[in-house]
Parts: sequence; C-alpha cells; structure tokens
Amino acid sequence: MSAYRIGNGRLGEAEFIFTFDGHKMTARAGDTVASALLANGVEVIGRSFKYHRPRGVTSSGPEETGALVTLGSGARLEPNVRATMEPVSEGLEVFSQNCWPTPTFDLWSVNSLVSGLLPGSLLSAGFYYKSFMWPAAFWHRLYEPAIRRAAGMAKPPREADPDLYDRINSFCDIAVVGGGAAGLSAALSSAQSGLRVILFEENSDLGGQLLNEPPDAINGDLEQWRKSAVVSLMAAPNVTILTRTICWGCFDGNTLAAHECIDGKVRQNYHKVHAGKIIIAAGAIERPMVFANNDKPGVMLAASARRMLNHYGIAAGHTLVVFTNNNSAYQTAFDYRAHGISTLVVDSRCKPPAKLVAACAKQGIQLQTGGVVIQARGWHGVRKVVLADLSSDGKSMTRKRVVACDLLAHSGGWTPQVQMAAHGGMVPIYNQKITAFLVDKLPNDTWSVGAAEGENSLYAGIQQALTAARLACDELGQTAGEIVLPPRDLDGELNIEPLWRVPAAGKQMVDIQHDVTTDDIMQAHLEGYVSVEHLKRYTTLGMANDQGRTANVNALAIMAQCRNQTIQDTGTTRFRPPIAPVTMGAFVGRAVGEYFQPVRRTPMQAWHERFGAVFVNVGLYRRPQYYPRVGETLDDAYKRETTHVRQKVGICDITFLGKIEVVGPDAAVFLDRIYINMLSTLPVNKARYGIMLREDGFVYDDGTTTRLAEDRYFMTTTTAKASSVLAHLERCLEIEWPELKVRVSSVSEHWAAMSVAGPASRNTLQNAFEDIDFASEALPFMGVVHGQYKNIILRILRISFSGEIAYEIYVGADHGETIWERIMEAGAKFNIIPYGLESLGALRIEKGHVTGSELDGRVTLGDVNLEAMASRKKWFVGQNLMQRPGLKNPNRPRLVGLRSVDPKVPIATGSILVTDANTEARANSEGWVSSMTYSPELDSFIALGFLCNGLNRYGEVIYAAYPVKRRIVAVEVVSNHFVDRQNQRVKG
Amino acid sequence: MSSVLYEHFQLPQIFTAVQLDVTTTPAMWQLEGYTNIDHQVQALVGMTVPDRGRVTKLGTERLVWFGRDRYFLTTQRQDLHDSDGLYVTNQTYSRAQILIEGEAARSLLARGLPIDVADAAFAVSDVKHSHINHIGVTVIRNHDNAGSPIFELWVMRGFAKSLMDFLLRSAATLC
Amino acid sequence: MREHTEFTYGEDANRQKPEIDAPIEDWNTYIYERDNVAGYHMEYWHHAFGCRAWIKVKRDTQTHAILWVGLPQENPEIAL
Repeated sequence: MSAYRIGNGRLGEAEFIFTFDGHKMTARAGDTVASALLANGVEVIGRSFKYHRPRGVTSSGPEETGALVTLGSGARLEPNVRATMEPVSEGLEVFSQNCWPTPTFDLWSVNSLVSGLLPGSLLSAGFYYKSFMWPAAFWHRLYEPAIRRAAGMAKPPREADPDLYDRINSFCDIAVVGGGAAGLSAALSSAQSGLRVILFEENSDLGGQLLNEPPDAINGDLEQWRKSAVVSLMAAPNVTILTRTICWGCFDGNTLAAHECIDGKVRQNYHKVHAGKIIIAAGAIERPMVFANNDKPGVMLAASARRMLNHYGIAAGHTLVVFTNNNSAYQTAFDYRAHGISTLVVDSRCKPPAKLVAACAKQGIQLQTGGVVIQARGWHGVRKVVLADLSSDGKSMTRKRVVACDLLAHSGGWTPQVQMAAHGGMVPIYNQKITAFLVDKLPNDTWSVGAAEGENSLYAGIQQALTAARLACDELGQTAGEIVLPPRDLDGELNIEPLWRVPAAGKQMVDIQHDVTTDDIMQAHLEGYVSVEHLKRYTTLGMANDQGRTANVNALAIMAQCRNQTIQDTGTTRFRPPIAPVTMGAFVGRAVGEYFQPVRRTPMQAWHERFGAVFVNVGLYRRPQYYPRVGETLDDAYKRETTHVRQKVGICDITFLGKIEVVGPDAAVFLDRIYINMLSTLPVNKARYGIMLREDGFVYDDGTTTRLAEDRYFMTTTTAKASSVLAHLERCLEIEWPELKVRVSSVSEHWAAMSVAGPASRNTLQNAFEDIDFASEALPFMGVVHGQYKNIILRILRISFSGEIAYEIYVGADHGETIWERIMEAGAKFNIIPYGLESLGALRIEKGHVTGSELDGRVTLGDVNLEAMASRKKWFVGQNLMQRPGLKNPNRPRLVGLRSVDPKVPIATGSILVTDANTEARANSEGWVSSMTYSPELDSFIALGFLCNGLNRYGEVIYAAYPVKRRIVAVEVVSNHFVDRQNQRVKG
Repeated sequence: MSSVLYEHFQLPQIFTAVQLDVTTTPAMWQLEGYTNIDHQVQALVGMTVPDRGRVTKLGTERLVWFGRDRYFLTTQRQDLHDSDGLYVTNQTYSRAQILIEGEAARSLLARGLPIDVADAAFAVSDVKHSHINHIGVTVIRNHDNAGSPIFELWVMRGFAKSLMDFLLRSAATLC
Repeated sequence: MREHTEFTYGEDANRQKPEIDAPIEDWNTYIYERDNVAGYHMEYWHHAFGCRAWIKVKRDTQTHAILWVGLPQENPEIAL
C-alpha cells in the first residue's frame, strides 16, 4: 500500500466504478487502469511470465512491462492489455494475470523459489532445449503438455469476437506521427498552409512529455501553450486529430498503417493512410537501470513517476529514491520533494552538473554522487534498497548500506522511437552522444524530429519540427506558417554517462516483461550466439508486448561488453511492423462470417433458392449443385436429374460462364491467333467450339465462340478462367499486337444464360417461344438465331455439353427470371426439371467432354486427343512450344475413359493408374483419374483419366489405386465417349 | 441499368448523415472503337466525348469515360447499332446504380474505396474506376445537393446486393 | 497515383519476341528465361480494377520505388 492520490492532475471531476479481480474501486475521468489501481493502493497487479515474480506499474505508457491485465470476460475477454494505455470506463472489469489464486498470494511462484534455491537458473534462456529430456518418451506424454500449459501469458477468449471493426482509407498531405510538443508544432505550422494534415497520437491526451509537467497555475505556462495548441488544431478544418491511435507501420509509397481505439458502435478502426509527406515525432522512451530486483513493484521509470504525480495526481510512494546516470531524472526528485515527500538521489556519475547539485541542496534533497543501487528489497513491493559507492573504473563497489524506500524512480537514459523510420529497411546507427540508435538515412518524404531524433530540448525539438513542416509544405507547393513558441525552454541536455548494468550479482532484469536477466544474456554469449538477432530469439528478449522498448539498448550494450566490442559493431535487431499489438479483428474489418467474401449472384438466384436448390461455392458464385426432392441425398438427386435430362428435358443455369464481346475489323485475324482452330472462317450466325493454348504450349481454356457479324464475335470461356482470359486478350492486344484494330470487353453481367437439354428440349422451347422457329433447318446444330418473346430479345445457340439435343438461351439479365419461368411453364407438359452442377458434370463425363478437371494447366492438345483440331494453316499462341519433343512424346498419358469392372464400385478422383495391383502405386504410376461419376445410362461408375499409351489399351483391365484411403479398384480402359459416340442425338 | 436492387432492399435507406438510394436508366451502351471515335460519337449522341476520367451530359443522356477510346452512354434509346468504326454493345443490365448522398458520404466511401474522394481530389463530373472490397465499382461524382456531395456507384449486377449489404452495414455505424 | 490493390502484376517487359519461324530454343528462352534484376526493372502491370489498361512500369526491385509509368509502346527518356 504505497501509492495514493495526492492531487487532481489533469483529471476530470467525474468518477467511475470499476472492478479489479472482483473488488470494486473508484477512478476519475482520465485515469488509466494503471493510475486508478495505484490510486487505490494496489501494488501487486500480476505475476511475471516465467518466474511469477510480483509485478506492478513500471511506466505510464506503451513501454509498460509490469502492469499487464486481462479486461472483460466471455467473448469480449482481452488478455495482456497494458494497464497504462487503457482508459477506465464505468463498469470496466479488470483481472490480474498469470497468478493463482491472487497476485499477492500466487502458488505458481514456486518457480521463483526453486530458481532462487538452485545455482544458476533452472528456467534460464533456452531451458526447454536442455532439460526435460529423460526419459525420452516422457517428453511427448508429460513434459511438453505440462510446459505448454504453464507457458504463455494469460488466456485468450474462446468465442468469436462480437464487435465491429472498420477498415478506413485515409488520405492526407502531411501525416504527423506523435502529438507531443514537436508533433503539435509540426501540425500547427503545416495546417496554416491549407494542406490536409492528420495528427496521430497514441494516448488519449495530446502533449507527450508536456504531460509530465505540472498543470497548475504556478508552472502553468507550458500547460497554456499545450491547451491552446490543441484548441487551434481542433478548430482547423483541414486537420484531423486521431487520439488513442498508434501508427504501427510505415510502408512503400508513403503508406502508413494506424490502429484507432474508439469503443463506440465500432470498436476499433484500421486506417490505411496515404500520406504525401510524413513527419515522425514519435518521441523517446526512458530506459531502466539494470540492478538486482529492478522489476519489483514500486520500481518505476523516473519520468513516468513524474507523470503519475503531475498528470494523474498520484504520489507513487512515500519515500522516494531516484537512481540515475543522467540529468532528466532530477525533475522527478524536484517535483516529489515539492509535495513534501522525502527524496534521495543516487547518481552514478561522480560529478553531476553544478546547477543540479545546487538545486538539490536548496530543496533539501539528499544527493549521493558516484553511487549505485545494487538491489531492491521487499517481499512484494520495494521497501528498502541497497546502495553502494561505485569505483571510478566502474568495476567494484564499497560502502554498502541499506535505506528505506517504497518508490524507486530510475533512469538509464532515453531511447528515441525509431521504429517507423526504420521500417523502410534503413539500419539504425548507434549515436555515442545520446547513447542510442538513430536512423541514418530516412526514406524519401520522411522527417524525424524532436526526441525521436535524439533532441530532448523543447525549443530545439520544436525548431526541428518547424523546419520539417516548412520543407514538407514547400515540396507540396504550399507554405507552412509561423507558430507561437512555448513561453520557456526545457533543457533536454542529458550529460549521460552510461552505466549499462550495476556490476553485482542477483536477478537483474533487462527485459522485464519476459523475465530475461543479465545472466541470460551472458549465457547466450557463452553458448556462442554472436548475432543480436540470435540473442533476441534465444533469450526472447524484446519479443513481448512492449517489443523491447525498455530492454533493447541495455541488452545490446551488455552483449557488446561481453563480446568486447563497440555497441556500434554489435548493432540492433530489425524493426518490423506492427510496433505494438493490433487486434486481429481490425485487420479483417467487416469480412467476417457470411461476409467473408463478396457473393456473386446470377439473375435466377432467387428462383433457385425458392426451388430448394443446394448451393456450392464456385469462386465467388453460389451455384446450384442439385435440387433435391424430399428425402433425397446428393447422390439420389444428381442421378435422377441426369437420367431425366437424357430421357426428357432439363434446364440449367449457365450464367456463370465468362462472356466476352470481340469487335473490330481485325477481330477474325485476332481470334485466329488466339485459338488453335480457325475462327475467321466461321460464318455469321454460327458457333464453333474453340481451344486456346498458353504461350508455353499447354492448353489454357476452351469455350464456344459465335459470330454475330463480320466484325463482331461473342466468346464464352469457362467460369474459372473468365477474368484470366479477358486479361490475356487485353494483354495480347495492348502489348503484342497493338496494330490490330480490335476491342474486347466483358459482357458477362449483361446476359443471363441457361441451357435447355434433352430429347424434349426442342418441343419445350418451341412451345415457350412461338415466334421463333426451332426446326432443324432454321436452327441447325451450332447455329444461332435471334428472336423475341414479348419484346424481350433472345439469342439462342444450338449447342450441347451434355450430348443430348440442347440449346443455350441468352437474354438480358433483368429478364432472366422471366424467361426461365416461361421455359419451366412451357416445359411442364414435357416434365421439365431444373438440373444442377453435379448433374451437369455427370452428363458431360458420360459424353467424354473435358473441363478444368482435365485441362489443369499440365496437359497438351495431344494429351486430350484433340491435336487434330489445331490448324496447320496459321500461327497461333502456343504453337511454337507445343512442338517441344517432351510434349510430343508418345509415352505421355492420354485421355481415356475408365469403367469400373464392378459397376457398383466408385473410382476415386485423383487415383493413380497402375497395371499391377500389387505394386507401390506412385513408383509405378502410368496415369491418373481426373473426373468420375455414376452413369445412369451405363448403370455403372465411370471416370475420365490419363493413361500412358491409353489409346492402344482399350479393353485392358488396370487398377485405380488410392493409397491415402488404401483402396484399389479394377477398371476397364475404354473410349472416353461413353454415350452416343456418333453424336446423333445432338445433331437430331 | 439493372433493377436488381429493388428486389432486395427497401429504398431509400436514410441514416443520420448519409442516405443510400438506387436509380435506373432505361438503357446503357458501351461505345468503343479502335481509334479516336469522337467524330462518330458526336454524330450519334450530339455530345462531345468526355476527357479521360470525366463525364459529359446532355439532357438526360450521359457519356462516361471507361478507358482508352471507350465510353458508356446512359440513355432512353433502346435501339443503337454499330456504325462506321464505332462499335455499340448493349450493357444495359450489367450494372446497378447506387446513389450515396450526405455530409457523411465521403466518410462512408472511405470505408472500402481506396480512392481519395475529398473535394479537391474528386471533382463534380469526375469518374474513377476502382473497387470496394474487391467488388469492381465505377464512381461518379454528381452535382451537390444543398452543399452535400452525391456519389453514384456503378456495380456489376451480380455483386450489387453484396455491395449494398456492405454499404448499409457500414452506414449504420457511422457516427 | 492509385492503390496497388487495383492492379495485377503482368510480366517482365524486357523479353524480345522471336520471329515466328525462329528455332525452338529461341522461343524457349523467350517463354522461360528471365534476368533477376536487383535494381531498375521494366515490367508490365494491368489496371484490372481500374480502366483495365496494360501499362509499362520502371520499378526499382530493391526499394519498390516507381520511377516511370507509360503505355506499353512508350519508353522512358531517361537512360536505364
């Protein structure tokens, strides 16, 4: 119980009730969960990752490593939330993590005890590679499951996320990342140019480190400046301010990714920001000092302890010790002392600046120079610290003594936040003067200013920001404006003398969140990990929520000491997005559940739904697969539908096909180059089946092309290849043959299309459309007519996919349902039924037609027995490489039909064809099965497949092996034309 | 234009700062050629062809730029044919037209359309072709109504319901 | 300046198409062989969700910077 509310800070009047582990507590408007817990005297908030050491609040921002909590419950449960970043709201449920039953009494902390008792550490870096090895069988059954259960931090929710997230495309001329003094100045100056500015700030409040300053009247001058800057920016119509928004990634083309927390109707937004120029004012993060038990509750970063006092009105302790190697922590001492709190400053430097020494004397602050804190002590939170004097060579200590302390504010220096600047791949370089890494060469259109650039003084940082704003606006052809500077400067000179670790024994935490100690770093070194990237992965340092914000530089410096090289040579790990945790839901936006992808509907979709069709997803389309009668399974239905089409008549929706209009005086020439067969010789009002190859000689797509006029063709493609073929045609016209006078465009959406097939199809259509002549002379096989039904224009092709006499009807999409219903009505007396994709497949397999199952991108014309279709009179795409000896090899598997020897046994698609049933299938493969179905006409299971020397093996019995399910089926090799080989039905 | 959206939605749908509605035109024709077709188009519709990315208007007819030497004509006329190097293809039912009007129209579009629709970047009678969540759209900015922008989206008929669903769900949660 | 999601990558623009009756080895090179350049690269892109034009682009494969955009028949004036 050491922290308490001492003032108002900048908090509002309103009070909220929230709970912590079920206990009711009060908070003020503006409190974060961390400050509210401190105000309520909570010291131990959770337990650490590995050792279950007690943890409390260590900071006041995104670098929080101790106060990690779980919020909410059920579907809205959110683990590993940094309490310093989460504002309190009415009724918020907060839970401790990684401890049981309570944070203060945690049975799992036996880990810590065990580690304390044994020499070295049982759970040090990489322990799972070196222990739990014997007996070997126990790893699988006992050790690994146990370690898995114990590992990890907190528990995730099990239910689907019920909240809404939006993805937003944001555009601006100037993006300012960071709302501290530098960021506010850059935004104020840029705003006056009239350009669009977006200002991003991680916290709820703007001001950055100005929020560490007291807000009251005496020192209120800076607060006035801050407030009026915010007011001006909010009033500017060309400025958008996004608070609680973190920019987490910087990408090519000046694109930023940002994550905004709103907690409104929409919970969070993902902003994809297209910026003209980027000014990074992301500030700097304070580093801890490295000494034994520096992770104890009550040990806090110095500037954060100061923010707690001045912004949240919370004194984080009664007896303050400040431990530092630079100037900045003195402000914390002065402010706490001004509230009457007993303060001792321990400065590892022998000669801190005279003005600081004088100020301490004046305020009655004890000062120990050349001193260090060796250890923090206390059962849960810190109650005492062990001090000593450090020798001038920094290697030994004398005069150890213990003093009372319940708040230890430490500062080991400042680390500029260079992540965004480094995302472009620029390597940060170590800067001796500020003892931190900076990006040497920023990407184009990007500036880094203020503390993010290592400039900690207020005026100097603002000047950098104003220069950047001026240059950015200039480059965009506008002029930035002047701003009023704050009334006084803040000296940011650190005079830092690095002390990377206190040279003493004990558990000295470097990465507090992941329980990584100096011993772990030294161990990694001893085990030969020479690269910082290896150090990171082996020790897990820098891999937690805070992404090593407080740990990285200390760790690299210690590693450098181990390796006896400079920090510069040691280098730093690569920064990658995201730089902070981002909710998965925000990436996904609204594309959840039924909205996962867009749905594409045919004009007859509603009719299919009313008729009870069962649908299957084909790309973005939902195609009717079958129309079951009551009690029917898929198998029952498709067999019935197939039989019915062969015996009577059926109607099928084929709108899914790609439809492309090809126009121009050179259309015929163009199509001759695209297709393997002649299209220029196709008469008007006739249709022809065509095949096109890829450049490399393999079959690409097939379809039917109809000639509507001398210079106009209507081409269809397979459903799957519709977009691809259109792009291919456009590419050929724009890149290869720009001299051809041809235009191509998709008309897929304008036309509804349906196929009417079966012996009674002609009569059905004649009955439906009296004004059109369906007699064979008027509409021969592969012919086209245009006609009308009640002023609706119809285009009718006589073409068959099923092998029965059949017609394709094309009509404007809005009339699709009308025409479909007309055909159903007119076909009633012929027993017309709708048939779906499954039946369509069965029919075409019986007929022996190839589809995408056969034309899978690996087969040639020869493989599918269609080489005779290729014209010898002209060049076409793919012709050259089609001639490759490998593609002309007579041993290539060729298309055959397969008939199950036992007609009741199905043949699995994908089966491997072998001659001898007793051999290992893959090693003796002679081909494969590409499609299969039950054939009602043959009352047998049949298949299409590819077989070496297949055309000469009709009648042979071979085997279709399916090793995955250990099945093998005897099949007879036959022609792939199972039904009506002479094509008499379609020509009838 | 396709009337498909009327089958699925009660329209207009009115929200706090934005409203969505649908409109149709009797016919839509794709006009294209293999060279500069200004001449032929003038002869056919009496309008100059729009510059790249623009829309021209005459009475109730509009010409919308749709790529190199390609324009879409919205009109009452049902009976147009190829002539003299100008190719005319019926695309009447291929698109549905969605109107988005209101102070929050830009905000709504931002939630899916990767184009800058700010006043300076997207002028009245501009047209741009893009996509919303991988559904291709053509976006036209019509004349403002009492200071509120109006955007007209053309979407492929097959995707119209899916797109409208998305827009309505997003509009419902706009502040 | 349009968003990349409107485009699909086409192909390398540096290929030299052989004569129709050139030996098959030349066609093989044309179809299969590419230089894998670290630096400036000429390539085709397709504005699939936009105006559907094919364009030629000069892009730095190391930094992804786009240096020049034009129609397939054009060429940048600056030397590669």
